Amino acid sequence: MTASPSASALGAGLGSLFDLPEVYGSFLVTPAGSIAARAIPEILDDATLAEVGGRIIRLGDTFQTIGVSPDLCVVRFTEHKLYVKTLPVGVLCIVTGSGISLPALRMAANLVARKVAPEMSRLGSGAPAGAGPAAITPRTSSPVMTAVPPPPPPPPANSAAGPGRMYRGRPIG
Amino acid sequence: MRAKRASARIGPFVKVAPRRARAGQSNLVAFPGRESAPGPVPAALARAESSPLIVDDKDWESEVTRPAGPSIGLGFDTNGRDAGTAVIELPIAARVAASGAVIETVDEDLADAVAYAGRLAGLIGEMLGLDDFRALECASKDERVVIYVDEDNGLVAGRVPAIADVGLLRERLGL
Repeated sequence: MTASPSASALGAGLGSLFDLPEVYGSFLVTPAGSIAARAIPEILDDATLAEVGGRIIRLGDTFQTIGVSPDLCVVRFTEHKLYVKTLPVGVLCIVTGSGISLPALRMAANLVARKVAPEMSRLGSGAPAGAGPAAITPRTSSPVMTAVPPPPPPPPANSAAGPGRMYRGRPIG
Repeated sequence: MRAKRASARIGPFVKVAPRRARAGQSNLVAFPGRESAPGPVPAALARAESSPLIVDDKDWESEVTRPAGPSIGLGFDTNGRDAGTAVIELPIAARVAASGAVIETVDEDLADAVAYAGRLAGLIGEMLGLDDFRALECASKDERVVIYVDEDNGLVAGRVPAIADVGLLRERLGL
């Protein structure tokens, strides 16, 4: 897949985060909750990541209802952390191990934010920025990076041609 | 017949107690973290053992049941282990039980937000294939909101000014 200039800029920004140990992946979420770019293992499909993006935006909105405009949010799981940095437009999310060096991550995230902010603003304003938003250039040195094409369009809803209700792979009823 | 068999089963345990009493040994068990008292029983404790009530000068209970109030001291880490004597004060703004019941809050909206944020964080972790949600820190220019999962799987939230030093709290919660 040929990466657009916009996707290249976003992808290069995210790829640089892998310089830090215990960074497992990262992705950019637009204010609408869709994924602008991703650098995270393919095991997480785009649909799942889009759902995560929507929830991250809602998490920020939740804090805004109590008067807190989050600049930064660190979510701790048992053995992982999710670092969420609010950009002028959109959100940068980084999945790390629990032993990540937060000062180094903060610095790296600030640099990435500075790099991707113009492209994110362009995406947010709806200006054409090249190809589909989910396509980014993979970083070859990172084993977990893969270029992920945008998800194929869903099949047309045709009830007559549809398989109906299935049970263990066989149509029923 | 059945009663006889039962008494035979408990026999050894019943026999041990008088033997220990005859030997003049203390029946007190040293709990982990509590200083055990090997050797001879102190005179004060020996006097107490002869009476039905054991007098203990130290208020052990206060160490494990901290009074609920405007702040909480976290004397444990997120795995529930005793993590030393350092106590970090986090002004509690809301406490929500695992069932969703609001136990205490300074603001109804805050409790709702804490409950929803905790749920969202759990879902985000689940979808990303991560493990259990433990804690969250949300920082703005003016203040920080810290939410963590307590021992009962409830949510506890506190708000502190942005200038407050939360280094120890972060360390304890793994943030």
